[in-house]
Amino acid sequence: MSEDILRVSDLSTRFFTNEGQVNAVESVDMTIERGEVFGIVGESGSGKSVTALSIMDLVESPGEITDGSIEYRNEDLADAIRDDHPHAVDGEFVDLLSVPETVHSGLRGTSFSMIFQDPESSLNPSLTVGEQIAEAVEVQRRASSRPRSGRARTQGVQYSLGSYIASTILPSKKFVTEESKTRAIELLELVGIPDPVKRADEYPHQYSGGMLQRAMIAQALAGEPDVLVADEPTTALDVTIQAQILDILADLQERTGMTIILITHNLGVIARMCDRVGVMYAGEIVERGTLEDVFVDHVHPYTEGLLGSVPDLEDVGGRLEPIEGNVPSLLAHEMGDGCYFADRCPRAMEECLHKPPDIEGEGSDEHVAKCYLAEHPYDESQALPEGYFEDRTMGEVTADETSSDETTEEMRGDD
Amino acid sequence: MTESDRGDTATSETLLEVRNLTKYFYERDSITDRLLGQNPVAIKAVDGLDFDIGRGETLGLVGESGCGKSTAGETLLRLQEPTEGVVRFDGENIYDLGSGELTKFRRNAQIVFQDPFSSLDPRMTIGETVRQPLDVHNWPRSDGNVGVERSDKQLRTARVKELLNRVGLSGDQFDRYPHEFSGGQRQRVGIARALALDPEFVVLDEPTSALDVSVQAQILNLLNELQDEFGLTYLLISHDLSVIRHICDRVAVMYLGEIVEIAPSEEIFTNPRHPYTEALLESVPRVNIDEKDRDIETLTGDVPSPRNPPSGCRFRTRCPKIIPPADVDLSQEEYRAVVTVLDRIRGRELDVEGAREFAAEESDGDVDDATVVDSILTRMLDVDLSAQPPHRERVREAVTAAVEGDWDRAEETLSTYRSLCEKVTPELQPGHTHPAACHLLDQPDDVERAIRDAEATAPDPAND
Repeated sequence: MSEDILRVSDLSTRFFTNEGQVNAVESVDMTIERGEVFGIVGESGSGKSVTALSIMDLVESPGEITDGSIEYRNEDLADAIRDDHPHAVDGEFVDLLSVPETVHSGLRGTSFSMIFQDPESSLNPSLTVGEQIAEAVEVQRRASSRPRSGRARTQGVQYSLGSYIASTILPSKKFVTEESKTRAIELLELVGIPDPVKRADEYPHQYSGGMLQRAMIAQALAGEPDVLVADEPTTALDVTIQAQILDILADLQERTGMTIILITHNLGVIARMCDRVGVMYAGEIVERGTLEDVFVDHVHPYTEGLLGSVPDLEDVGGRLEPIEGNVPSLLAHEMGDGCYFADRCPRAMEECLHKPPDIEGEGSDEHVAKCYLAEHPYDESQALPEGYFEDRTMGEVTADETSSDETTEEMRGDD
Repeated sequence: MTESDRGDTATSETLLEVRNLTKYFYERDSITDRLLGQNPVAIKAVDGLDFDIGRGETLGLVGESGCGKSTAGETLLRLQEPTEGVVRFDGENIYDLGSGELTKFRRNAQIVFQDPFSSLDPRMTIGETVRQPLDVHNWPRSDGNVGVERSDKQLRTARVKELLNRVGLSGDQFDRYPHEFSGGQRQRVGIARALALDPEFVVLDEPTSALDVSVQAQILNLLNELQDEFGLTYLLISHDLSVIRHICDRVAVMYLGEIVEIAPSEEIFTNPRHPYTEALLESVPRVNIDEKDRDIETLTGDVPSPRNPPSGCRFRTRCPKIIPPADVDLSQEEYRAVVTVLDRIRGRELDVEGAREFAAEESDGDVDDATVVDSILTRMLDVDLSAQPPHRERVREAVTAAVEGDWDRAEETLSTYRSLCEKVTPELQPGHTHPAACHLLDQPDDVERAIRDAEATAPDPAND
């Protein structure tokens, strides 16, 4: 029986923008076990990346984690900070949101590491790939030798003329040492880059997309993290390269026993990699459970719609069954109190105007859905009248396949 | 499915005939480069495409990024001038059209672009955007001789509203700006703009890659309906095989500027003949709970550069079914390992200095060539060749020569391992319903002849 490594409960992240408060992540609960691959799937704007950034403590202003806890199991860390921050420690778990910023950010790299979607913009174009990885290795080494100091950082931004001259005279290679360079080359080899010695001295633009993603994985592995957060790691890649990268991730996970949180919009990638899945919509996890719970025993109409939208490679059907309408804006004042999916839901009922709690579904004991349909079947007599939500959408016209019938009238009636 | 043979016998049903379409881009082609005596470098984006598209048909062009599919789409609309080749639209070569005829062609052939965020002018309302092609082509026009009639402007505005309604937007949104719309809605605007002039042929260049799956499904359904309603002919360019399968009648698979296989959709997906198509299909993760247990043989390596594509079959550097010479009795894996070494030696890419450095670091001191050779072999050969002593010795000999700096000898040592796939370029079988350019399949006569010639002149012919 594997143990939990991360317990996220009631996590809320909000952005305070000029247009209003955006509830990017709303009361997310999830438990991640050591050594598993946990998938978060959802469309763009569903809050899956912000969830990842919240775990990594990388949410930037105007965003803020406003509520909840992220408990991370790490005995050493718990012992080390128990005296200073007793309220943050619960047995072996440490609540990362109650410890000071420096402690949380000190865990980046050594405990949590992240790979991003777009490798081309995530690496520094003016440093060689080897230098960047070596730097990460050195930073992580210093960080783990002084786990609680926040001082182990990279040189920081040095764009002034003075620092430019200084860096020319005293090459700022402090972080690229002989050992860290060797380790960087080993890491490049680990992720399957041919000729790592030569490639380490090349710049990112000399790499192909797939190679860059490998380099980024190598960099993320520099601190031997417990948890690797992979945010759309293969979205920018071709299918044959995607298959390679997924293989590498699965292989590394098996070898190092690390935990992977895999964020993607691609249900196929989820099916290939994950043990358990959370489906996100409008900032909430609307359904979660094992892969089978979500793919076979799903109850939430959004999950169903998502699965129905994917054209099947093995079986050509006629029409796809898309979800009508668009992803909502997430602005707090437009969100309403009911189920966020109700306005696009083909089976919305009156009770859906009140927010459904997590309700257990069929399948494994972990299977929960934020939907009343998990409790009882669809009751047509309770259905919301057609067009109920249209007044509220304020002219935002949703995809309407039948509107062509009106075209002739439009032609006559206008101008 | 209207027509399924590519054959050179163009029927009256054929709308678009593409013959030997070629587009090279040139690097180092400026005046300064010429003055400095630099030769331009050709990037062979599209290299000799042949296919037909029947009226009312949807042809899918699928391939990985950089394979030239978008360039092909743009060139056959004459948005780019071709380096070579002929495209006949309704029987007329579009590259010979005069300006008047070209304008007519432009009305009939439209394109929908991939990125709905950058393909709409942010300073034009969507109504203006969709009306622009109508104004440019000055169509539809009022007759001007009827008493009660509408001005051109009114006619066109009405048409725009009709189009917006048809693609699932609303005529009331005429005066809105693109930033007010989501990606899926913008793509609908792009489709309305392409349909404004009532074209016969539309190139859809990755129309849904920027969209979420649920929105993608809406757009695909819309495209299907529009095709039925207006009798459109589509060329769908996509990297997404499931999208291709969903809406295409026929599919052409491209790799590095060439079509490697072309067949009716059903055939391609159930019975792929080219190893690249097989690999491509295999790499797509299925949305299925058994997906984890499915064994995928991933392709190794990256797509080679189109500046200097591999000789012979362009896929041979990654092909899991490369054909060894008759006298080489190695498993596919072992043979692939040897060929990789050969390719690296031929490209002078074996990283001798790196290996030397690495070996020196490990042993803390100077190293002799033998150690470097060992280091290269252990790093490069992920397959154990020790069960094949003669081959192992051959490879070692070649690498030793390379380490000593004698690349020609290194290349010569391994020349008996050269595959048929690199000597002769395979071609699509003309007239076949499902042609595929691969030496594993029957090849046209001239290719067969070339194969015989190549075998006859091989430096070390098969002696068993």
